[in-house]
Amino acid sequence: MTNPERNVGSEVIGEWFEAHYRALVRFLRRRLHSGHGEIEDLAQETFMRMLRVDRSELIRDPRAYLHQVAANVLLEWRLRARQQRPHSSSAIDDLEAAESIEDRADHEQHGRQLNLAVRELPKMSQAVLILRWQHDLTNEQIALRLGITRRMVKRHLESSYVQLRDRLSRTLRED
Amino acid sequence: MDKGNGIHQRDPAKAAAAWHAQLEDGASDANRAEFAAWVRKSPAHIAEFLRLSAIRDGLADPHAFDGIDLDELLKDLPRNVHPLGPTERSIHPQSESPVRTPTLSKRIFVLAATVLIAALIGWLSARGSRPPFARLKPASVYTTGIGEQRSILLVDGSIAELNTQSRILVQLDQARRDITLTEGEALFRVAKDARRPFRVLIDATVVQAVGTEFTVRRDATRAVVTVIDGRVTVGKEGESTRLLSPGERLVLPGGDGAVATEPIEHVSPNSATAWIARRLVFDDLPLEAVAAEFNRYNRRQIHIEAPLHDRKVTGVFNANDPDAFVAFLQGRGDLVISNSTDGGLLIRPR
Repeated sequence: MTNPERNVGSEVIGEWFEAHYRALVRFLRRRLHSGHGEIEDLAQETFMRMLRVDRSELIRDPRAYLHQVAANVLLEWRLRARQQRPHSSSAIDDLEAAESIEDRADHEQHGRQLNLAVRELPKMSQAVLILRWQHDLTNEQIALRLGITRRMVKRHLESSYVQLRDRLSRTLRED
Repeated sequence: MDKGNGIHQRDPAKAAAAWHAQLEDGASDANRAEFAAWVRKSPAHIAEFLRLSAIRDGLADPHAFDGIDLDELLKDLPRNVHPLGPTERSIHPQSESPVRTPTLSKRIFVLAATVLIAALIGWLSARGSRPPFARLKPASVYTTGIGEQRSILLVDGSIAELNTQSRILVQLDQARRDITLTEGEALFRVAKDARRPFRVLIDATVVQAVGTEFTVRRDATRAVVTVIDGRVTVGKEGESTRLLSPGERLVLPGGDGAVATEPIEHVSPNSATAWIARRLVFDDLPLEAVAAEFNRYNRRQIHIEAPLHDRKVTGVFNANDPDAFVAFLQGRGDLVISNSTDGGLLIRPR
């Protein structure tokens, strides 16, 4: 499955970035439910660094840049945490940001909750999401297929994202 | 495309959702500048944007839509919806079909762009002005500091991975792809383009590839070219070259580009690219060289006293963790480790 971001933006791709982006997503997924906590700390640190960077670099591909800075902050947290523990050569493996069995279980749980949340969305929104995320269509192509305007496609995406975010924060907190 | 339409949501969660939807539909320069400004306004904006990044990542997983059938959904939607073919892959026989696959529409765009550029060149040369692509555009410069690594996606689709303390100049135009390595080390994953050779220049030495993966490293006295995949030639421009295959490495002692006599070494491609995972792989290397390698990545420098310079080391270490390496040395028992005057570490025999 190709990720539409790669088709649309000029995202910086590379194994190194991929691995740390995956680690970032895992970190975020696991903490979606906490109302105020580690995501806020990560955002705070990322924010401080974004203020320091050169604006022109940020503007070239701000979304990729934001993700990269956040992934770097996370990587440094890991390094620091590890330095406070006694050295062990196996600790080097922590850095590989590899997916553990626990991560996979988390991933599956997250997938189930997301699936339930998607089913609660209006039918048109569900169709828009499928065409966008599973069939990799652009907003224009989705609009043609569904016989709605591009502006409506975007509105469905926006409201779906807000609802999914609210729903996922809530269900996880009730667990 | 909407231009700078403005996202004026006060609620960070709603604004973040609007930004995600905006950016994934392709963003204008004005959009991107506005997004950058929004991001720099509040950490709360960043937190919400990141939360949604995780959710959107989940949507790319097919399981997010388990049990949801697109055709079923469409049946229940209002009448103005175009019916879909039986499968996503169904081909539309009429070329005027409004639904195009992304690749097809993209191809048409590329074709249109090519024609436009060709027309532009034709027009400029007809007017007698200097063709804009006759000479190289000014180089883009990419650098990394100590301990920093960076992936750079070049406009031709090639990827340059810069290692610590490195600097490249990138010059791409219609006839060539020239990268100058002025400092440090880089790995190149070259996108195939037979019309434009991909060349890495180190002083007078030229490393040339068509579609391949290789690393180039230079330090004060020499340059090292290692091929991971495909083939590259190394040599001085216009003179005889050497051909390198995967797993082969050529060490160039001087900057004059002469490559006639140096022997070709054989290395494991895995260890040659280990730095990308920030691992340092040493196979029976002198301690002095190992310390120099750590010192490339860390501000805290390790100094080795002369009698130990040739002591051999074998192991895999994390580049950012000189402490683990020092602990490893300590385990040998015949070395003394102390603080040096520059805030680094001094290692000498007991």
